[in-house]
Formats: sequence, structure tokens, C-alpha cells
Amino acid sequence: MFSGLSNLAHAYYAVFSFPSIIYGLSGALCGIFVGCLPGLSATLCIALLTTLTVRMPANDAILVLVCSYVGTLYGGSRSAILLNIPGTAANAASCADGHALALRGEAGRAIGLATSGAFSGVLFGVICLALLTPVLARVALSFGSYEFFWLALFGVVMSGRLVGNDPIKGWLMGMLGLFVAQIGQDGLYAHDRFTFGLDELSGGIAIIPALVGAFGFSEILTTLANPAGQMVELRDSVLPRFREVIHYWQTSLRSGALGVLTGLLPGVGEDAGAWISYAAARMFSKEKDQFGHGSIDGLMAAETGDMSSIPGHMIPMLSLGVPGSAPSAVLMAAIIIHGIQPGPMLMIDHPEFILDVVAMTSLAMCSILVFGLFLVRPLLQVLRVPRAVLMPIIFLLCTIGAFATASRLFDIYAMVTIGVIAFFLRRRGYQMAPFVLGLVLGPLLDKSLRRGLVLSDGSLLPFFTRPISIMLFSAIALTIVLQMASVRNALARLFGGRKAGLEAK
Amino acid sequence: MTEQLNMRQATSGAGTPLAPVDLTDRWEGIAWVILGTLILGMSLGMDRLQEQGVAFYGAPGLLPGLLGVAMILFGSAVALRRAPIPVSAEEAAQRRYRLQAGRLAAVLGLCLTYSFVLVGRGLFYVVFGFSLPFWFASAVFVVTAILVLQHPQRVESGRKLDARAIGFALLIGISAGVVATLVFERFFLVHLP
Repeated sequence: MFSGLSNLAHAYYAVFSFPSIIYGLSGALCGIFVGCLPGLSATLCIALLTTLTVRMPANDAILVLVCSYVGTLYGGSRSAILLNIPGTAANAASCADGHALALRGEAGRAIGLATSGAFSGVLFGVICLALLTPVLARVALSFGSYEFFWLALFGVVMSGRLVGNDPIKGWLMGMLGLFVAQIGQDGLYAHDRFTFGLDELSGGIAIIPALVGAFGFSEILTTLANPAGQMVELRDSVLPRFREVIHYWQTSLRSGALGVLTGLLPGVGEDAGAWISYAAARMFSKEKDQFGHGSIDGLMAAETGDMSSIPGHMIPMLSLGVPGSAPSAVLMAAIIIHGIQPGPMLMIDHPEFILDVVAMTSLAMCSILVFGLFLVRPLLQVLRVPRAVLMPIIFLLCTIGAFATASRLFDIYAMVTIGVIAFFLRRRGYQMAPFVLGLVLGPLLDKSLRRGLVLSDGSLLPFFTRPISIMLFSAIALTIVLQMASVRNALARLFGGRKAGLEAK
Repeated sequence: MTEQLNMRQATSGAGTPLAPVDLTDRWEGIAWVILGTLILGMSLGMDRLQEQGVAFYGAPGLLPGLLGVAMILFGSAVALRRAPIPVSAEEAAQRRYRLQAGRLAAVLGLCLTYSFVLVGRGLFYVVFGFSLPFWFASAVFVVTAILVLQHPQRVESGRKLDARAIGFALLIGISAGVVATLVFERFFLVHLP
């Protein structure tokens, strides 16, 4: 135990050194800028910064990325409050109450509350990250190919089910991502698949260009296609009132726990943490009628829930190698680029890395507090930059981002092609998060399936008889079966009949 | 671009209007089935590496084939579902929102020209035998994009394209190209196309 605490202290000492603090603050600042701009997501920010930091030492680069991840989601609350347009999808739950407060002339108060909610959310998440990740990683050491096969499938199925309002379209996107991940040489025998004789395709579709296309270029097109919002002026103080923050401690604690729990589910995304926390806060609140009309409880719950889900998403990413959300998928890709392989072997190969990430997330938490309380007004200037000026520059950065990691012109073409397809798919209600999860988990799914079958000599039994495998399989099967209209109708008739019977009694 | 939507107002038995139903799901479902069939066909036709002693369950086409089957099943579900998922009022409004066709086409055209023609050994290199410096190609793109994207605002406010607007676009474009090149190539040692 003491060696663990000593390692943690060492990690904090390393991360809270002067150069690291500068890196962390820069990453968080960059993230807040990107988060403020509606349409540009944490995924894009991390993907672009990955290319910028590719030559930096691993820990410094990952520190910048973690801080930008936290900063982007925090920055997204600014445009949600002032423009009524969420900066990122995760901030959508903050729109109604945050903007209602802003319209009442309390924009500063709303920003202050969002800052305190974000801080307490990340704090709660960091504690869970430090405590749960090593435990889960130890459990994951007993996983074999069979468990990893179901785990990868579970991630894609859950992501498809919970992101968006049409699970079948979500699953189709997950499958598309899994398929795109199969393009290029396969992981077991280096056999070319779906390359059509093109050498460039043998290397496969790299994750960073694909993500920059799906979240960057398609977002540029979406942003330019939608009308701009009208910004509310900031007049009052952004410093949160201490009494107000303490008053809502139950909301903070509940939302923090819910955010971390949703974060643990692979592929669900930060917005789910925010919405579930918001719904729970409404259920327990004494001021239910205020929700949607400037409820402080609602705003605190949404911000705490989405921010605590960030460390929550890092837990499965680090311990299982299964990212919890699209931004954490890019973060995982970046960590791999820097020579560290997340997953069960992390505790053996780089045991100190989990504590480093805990310390990095703590620095990110402090950064948003600094920027959130003392640099609000200058940071809001970014919302005034015309989109006609900003978007071409963002596309220029996307092009560099797609090219820089492998110096292949083909990656730029892949980014543009995926971006155009993603733009039209998004307009038809297809979500990108399951696609990204599929892309990241595709190689793991393929290797686990074939390796498992080779180990069992072609028998499917181990996939359905090992305890964790059967649990994961049941969860996947239940999720899909419950989506069938006939099953849902039968359940409704069954429970409706029972309810009617009970009422008659 | 006006998005081609085939929306109809569904009605319940009692004649009460329900949320709008999107019939283009049918065509999307068919497209997914076609894609799934193509993937399945290519997976079945893929080398099974039997000459290397690989069993059929280790063949490279196994997972893609299964994905093809899953796409056919789920695509059929989308195409054949009797009561398509009702589109929420908000989403319906977003879908109905008329895309500014000219603006979108211009943005797409500019981005595609920049990526496929101007940058690196793109079409420009193929035609002229030399490639443009990255900063210059980027500056050309940014300047043109700013002028094109600001055009509707100018038309709306009755202003003409003047030297000030061109100067502003040139300043931003050249700065963006030069700064991006210097920062990425010199400071962060990142290769540029």
C-alpha cells in the first residue's frame, strides 16, 4: 500500500513540475478554445494535437492530450450557456438550464456553476480512476481470446444502442467501422483484405485520418450548413458562490457516480453521463418545475455527469484496452503511437502509467479551474471569430493532422472521403461514435475470434461456456433481442396485463 | 442542397397525426443490404490460405463475412420495418432545414481541390510536373475559402467585393499558411505534404 502511495506521490511530483504544468495548461487552453466552438469536438481536438505532439516525449504528449480532452468538454459548456448551442455533444444537457440562466442575465453565475460542477466531477472521477483501474486490470489479466471477442462486440453493440435514437442504425455504423478496420493486411497471417491491388490500402485505413475525417471535416461541413447562433452577453461575476456549491453536494456526488458508471460502459460517450445525471437530478430534485428553465440543480448535474465520465472512460481504456468513448478511442490510439499498449498487460509492462494518467487528469482538473475562474472573458473572444474565417483554417489543420502521423498523401484522401460520407450519414441520423468504436475494436475482434477458434480447434463452446463470456454474450443478446418490435410488444402485453390485473384487484 | 426527404405524416387508427415518418429509410436499408452482400461475396471469394495449413475458422475472410451477414440482416430490418422509428420533432426540423446548396457545394469543391489538386503530389503535380509549396497551397485555399464563404453576407448587406475584404482574406490566408508551416515543420518537426 505504501509503495502504491509513494508511486502516486512520484507521479504527482513529475506531472506538477514547471514544464509539465506549462504543457498541461497549453493543452487545456487549446481544448477550451476548441470546445467553445460549436461543432468541433474533443475527438477532433485530440486527433489534431496527437499529430502536433507526435515527436514529444511520451508522457508530455499524453499530458497535453489528457488536458485537451478535459478542456474541450469543459469549454463546450460556454457555447451551451451563451449561444444555446452545445460546444460538444456532451454539453447538450447543459443548454436548457444554462442558457435560461444566461437569458435572465445570470450568464456568469451559470458559467461559475458549470466550472464548479466540472471540477467536482473530474475530482470524483480521478479518485475512481486511481482506485478502480488497477483492480479491473488485474481481473482482465484472466481474460482470454473468448472474453476479448465478446468485450469488443459488447462495446460496439452498447455504443450503437445508447448513442442516438435508432439502435439499428447505430449497430450498422458499428459494423461499418468494424469492416473498415478489416481493410489492409490481417493481423494473423498478413494477408491482404479488400485492398483491390492498391499498395496504399495494404497499410489499412489509419485511425487518426479516419477520425479527423469523421469528426473534423464532416463537422466543418455541418457547421457551415447550420445557421449561426446569437450570443448572450456576459455581465455578472463568474466566481461561484461557495454556499451554493456546498448546497448541491448531493447532486454533485450522485452525478459524479453516475458519470463514472456510464463511463465504464464501452462506447457510450460523455453525453450519456450528462443526460443520465440530469434525469436523476430531476427525479430527486425539490425544484422539478425549474428544470429546463434555469435550474441550478440541472446545470450542476449535467456538467458534473459529463466531466466525471471522462476519467470513467479512461478506466476500461487503460485496463481492458476498450475505449469508453470516441475521444478516449483517439486518446488510446495516441497512447499506442507513443509506445504504450493499454490493456491487461499495462499493469505488467508499465505499472506506473496508470498513476501518471491519474496525476495528468488532476492537472487537467486544476487547469480548467484556473481558466474557468480567471480567464473567462478573453476566452469568450473565440466565439466572436466568424466561421467563414475559422473553418478554412480548421480544414487546413485537419489536412496536416491526417498527413502528419504516417506522412502518406493517401491518408489525406482517406480523411476527405470519410468526412464527406460521414457528413451525409450524420444528416440521415447515423452516429459516428459506434463507427469509431468499430474502427478501434475491429483488429481486436478479428484476432480474438480467429485465435479463440484456433485454440479451441474450431469449437464454439468456449465462447459460450466461460463465465465472463456467457455474461457478455447474454448482455449483447438481450440488448439486440429487446430491440425487436415483436419482443417489445410481447413484453408490453405481459407487463401491461399484469399491471391491469393488479389494478383490478 | 435540398435534402431529398420523403416524409409523410403517419396517422394512427383514430386519425390522430403522429410524428413524421422517414420513408428514405427503405432505400438506406436496401443500400446496406447491397453493401453487406458485396462484403459477404468478397469474403467468400477471399483466399482461405489452405495451402499454408490454415483451417477454415482461421481464414482471413471469416470476420468480414460475418459482418456482411450482419449488415444484410440489420439492413433488411431497416428496409422492412413496418413502423420506422419516428423522427423526433427536433431532428425532423433539422433534416428539413434547407442546406445552403451553393455554399455546401462551394465548400466541398474548395476542400476537394485543396486536398486532391494543390497539396503534395496531387493533380497539380501530375499536370505541371512540380508541386506547390505547402504554405502557398494553403494560403491560396484559405484566401479563396474566406472570400467565397463571406460572399452571401456581402450580397445580403449590399456590399461589393472591395480591396479591404481581399486584403483581409490575403492577410489571414498567408498568415495561416506561413504560421502552420513554421509551427508544424520547424517547431514540432512534423512532416508536411
